[in-house]
Amino acid sequence: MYLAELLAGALAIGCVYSLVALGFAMIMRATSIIHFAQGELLMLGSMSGLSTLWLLPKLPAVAVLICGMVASGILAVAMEFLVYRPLRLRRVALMNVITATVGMSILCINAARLLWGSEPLRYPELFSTSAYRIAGVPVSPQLVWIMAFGVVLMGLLQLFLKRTRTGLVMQAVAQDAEVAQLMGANLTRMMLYTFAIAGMMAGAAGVMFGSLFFSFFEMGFLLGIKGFVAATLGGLGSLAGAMLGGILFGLIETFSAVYVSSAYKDAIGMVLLIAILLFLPSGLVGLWKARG
Amino acid sequence: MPEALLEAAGLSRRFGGLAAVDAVDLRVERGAIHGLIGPNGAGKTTLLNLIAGALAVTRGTVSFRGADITRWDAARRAQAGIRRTFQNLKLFAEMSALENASIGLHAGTHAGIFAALARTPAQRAEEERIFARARRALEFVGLGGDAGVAAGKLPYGHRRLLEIARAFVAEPALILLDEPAAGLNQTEAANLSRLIGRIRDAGCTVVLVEHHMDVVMSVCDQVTVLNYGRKLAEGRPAEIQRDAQVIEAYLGRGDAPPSKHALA
Repeated sequence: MYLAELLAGALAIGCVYSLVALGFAMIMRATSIIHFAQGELLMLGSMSGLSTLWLLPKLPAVAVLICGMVASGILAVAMEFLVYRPLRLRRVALMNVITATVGMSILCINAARLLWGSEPLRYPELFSTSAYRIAGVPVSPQLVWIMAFGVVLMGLLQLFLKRTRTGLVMQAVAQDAEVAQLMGANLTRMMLYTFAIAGMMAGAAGVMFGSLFFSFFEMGFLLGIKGFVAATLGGLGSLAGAMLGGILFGLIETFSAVYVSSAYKDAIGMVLLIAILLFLPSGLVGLWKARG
Repeated sequence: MPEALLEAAGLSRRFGGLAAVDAVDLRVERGAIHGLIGPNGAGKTTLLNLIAGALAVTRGTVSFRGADITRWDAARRAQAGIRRTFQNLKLFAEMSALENASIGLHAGTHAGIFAALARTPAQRAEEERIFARARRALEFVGLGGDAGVAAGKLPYGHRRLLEIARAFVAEPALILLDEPAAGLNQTEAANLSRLIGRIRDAGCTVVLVEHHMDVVMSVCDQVTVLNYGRKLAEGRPAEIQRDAQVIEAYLGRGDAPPSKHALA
């Protein structure tokens, strides 16, 4: 029973990491940028969701989630449009663009401190507090809903990429931008869509995380890094790998906190990152491809 | 004189001190298969890249259907009806053959993200039309059975054909083939020759850069020979095969009698 609750918690936080990792992977594939402000998109999504709840306390959880997604999506598009695109057009070296994303991250953290203060903010209860019983085992509704949101969002993204024309063109751009452009793809528009989707995923993760724990102006830093670890674990640039990496990282972190020590929870994640980079540089997907 | 679809005048491209293409005039007639041959490093692929817009022109002009396109970028030329294949295959490896072939059509239409998400009946109908056309292009090059296979998993010869299908699917006015026979065996090369003929019969003008002389000599109407970036000779395949200068460029000066096989 205790194990079931633990597993549900691990999978729920894993979904949060998966969504952040997906954003990293999508941007990485399309632009080769490691987008270090991804965690801040999560934080701002979380804060926006919370602020919406302050204004409209009766709003259903799905609506809060959508508010967070829209806010972060708009912000990500603004970052691309106002900062990264002009840098690209000036043919600035990739490393400098990546440094600019660190700058965006710091800017967002400070803006959030001004707007929302420096205290951790609690989310009101979004879900019913009486436990669901799944096969006789009581599980917190919050965890169930977060997993459901995570799975539905990731499923929708896959459908979008595989089944719609825009999705196909986005994939083509991610695989070879130059050739895709020759086939008539509008690169600037596809980049904008990529950032919008990555932002929306991060915003959803922010609302999900906020409702589990709290919102905090600096929450994006560590969550962003963890999402990056998850993306690396999956194999940077692979979408399936990012989703899998997030879930796996959630499991590793949760169970190591219980069975090793919760004091070292974050350190274990970072050790994992270094270990992946040393021993499995192409991540789980690389392992799969080597076997296949 | 038949109408020229593509004309280059005094076309030059320098890389530092090296003139990769040097004051080349080229006239490609509508409906022709025009071969570009020459020894390695003669500037064939550079010339093709100048026509496709992948490289900027140092001097000279390129005109297509009578319009000066010298300053157009590659994407605009592609929209205007100049499509190409790549010598070192550039397929979308993770996507299926059918998706690869359809990209040229998907990207060319102006559907936005919201229309794509809403999946209106008009959207779906257009999607079906696009995939039907892509399927026809695959069948045209002989890849009808490979529609669902990821491009990266296709055998080499099939990947070459898929490149051609992707360039041909939008039925461009001009198709630029960059060494399509590279790495193919005799049978595959013979099939390719027939395919190039059918592409022309379908209404596309073809510019063919190729080392494989059997292919060039069997399908081209007109051949331009480049050497050290300059135009060395031009004419019908039979004339080119007899041209002493051409033979010298390929084989060096010698006393051996020129033969058809000397060029192969």
